[in-house]
Amino acid sequence: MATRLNNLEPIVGTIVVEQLQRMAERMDRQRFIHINSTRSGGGVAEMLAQTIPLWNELGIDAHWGVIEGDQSFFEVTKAVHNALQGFKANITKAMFDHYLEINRENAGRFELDADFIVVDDPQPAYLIEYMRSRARRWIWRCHIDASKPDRKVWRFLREAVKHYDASIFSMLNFAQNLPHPQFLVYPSIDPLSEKIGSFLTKRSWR
Amino acid sequence: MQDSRLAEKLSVIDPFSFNSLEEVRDTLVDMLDDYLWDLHSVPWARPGFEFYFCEASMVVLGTQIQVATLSEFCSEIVKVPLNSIYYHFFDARWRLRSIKADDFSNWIKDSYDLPELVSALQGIDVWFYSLDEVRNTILELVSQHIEKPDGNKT
Repeated sequence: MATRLNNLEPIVGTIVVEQLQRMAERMDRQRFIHINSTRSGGGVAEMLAQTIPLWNELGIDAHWGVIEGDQSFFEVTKAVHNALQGFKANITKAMFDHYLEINRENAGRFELDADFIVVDDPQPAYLIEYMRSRARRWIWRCHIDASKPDRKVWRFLREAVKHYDASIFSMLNFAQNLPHPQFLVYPSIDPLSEKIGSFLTKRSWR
Repeated sequence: MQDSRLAEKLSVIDPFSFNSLEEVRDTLVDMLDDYLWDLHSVPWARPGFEFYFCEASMVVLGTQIQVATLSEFCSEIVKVPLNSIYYHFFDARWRLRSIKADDFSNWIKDSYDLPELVSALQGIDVWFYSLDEVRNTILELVSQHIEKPDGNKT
């Protein structure tokens, strides 16, 4: 059966695949959990749907957890998302409280312990408040253009993010004033995804 | 900052002409200080155009390719990734604290008595070539040596 690595090799080259394998060896016995807010739809879910199986194939113990929430919760997180991108948002204390309550409820649902928990975007950001001891290291990854966030919303989110051990941003000017190392990971595309696949047939990658 | 004159001045600094990154930094600071000395007010970048300093760490992985002779060196150097060429030929200058040194010529110097080849490798103009061209130039110089009547022992 063709594996993801087999399929990637003609596109990225043997050297890159071997580099991935050697880097994965260094992750020996480290358990990773990625947590986001949806199993399908949106760039983060697309990315995790591809990277988690790839990491597993490389021998890395990686899992994908998804938080659950009601309609009101996702209305709040949508407003938070927009506010981080600089749009004005009217988020009341009751809305923030509901967001916290859903994060608290979800923290009780995760049973796995890990060496690293990587939390994607603001929706599950407050999980750390309720399950800090479940992982050795916590990393917050922000996929949003947070270069000019709404002050009130960012101050609320920062209260959780500052407890993380590191954060990851997509661009230099999205980085924020935070008391931990901030890493830069540029947005990338997956040549094996269906979306990119049709493009791939028309173009050469190398 | 819309200052092409200063940009050009900074861009012609050759970092490989210094012995250490501290010296490169001192030169940049000196050049900027000299530039600011003559100005009545300090220019500002517009919001969104600020310069963001980054810190970089290098992750070094073994390629599991090793060679014991110059013939093997020639057959294997074409297989290693270009970032390996960067590590051994460019990064080595900072690591070994010598602007003339690189891992390839160091290995040849330590393993063989070939001062001419060592000096030819050290004479490669790092600014003139891309990484791919650097690789080809190294390969060409070492291959030329092997092809010499007395070079086939290496």
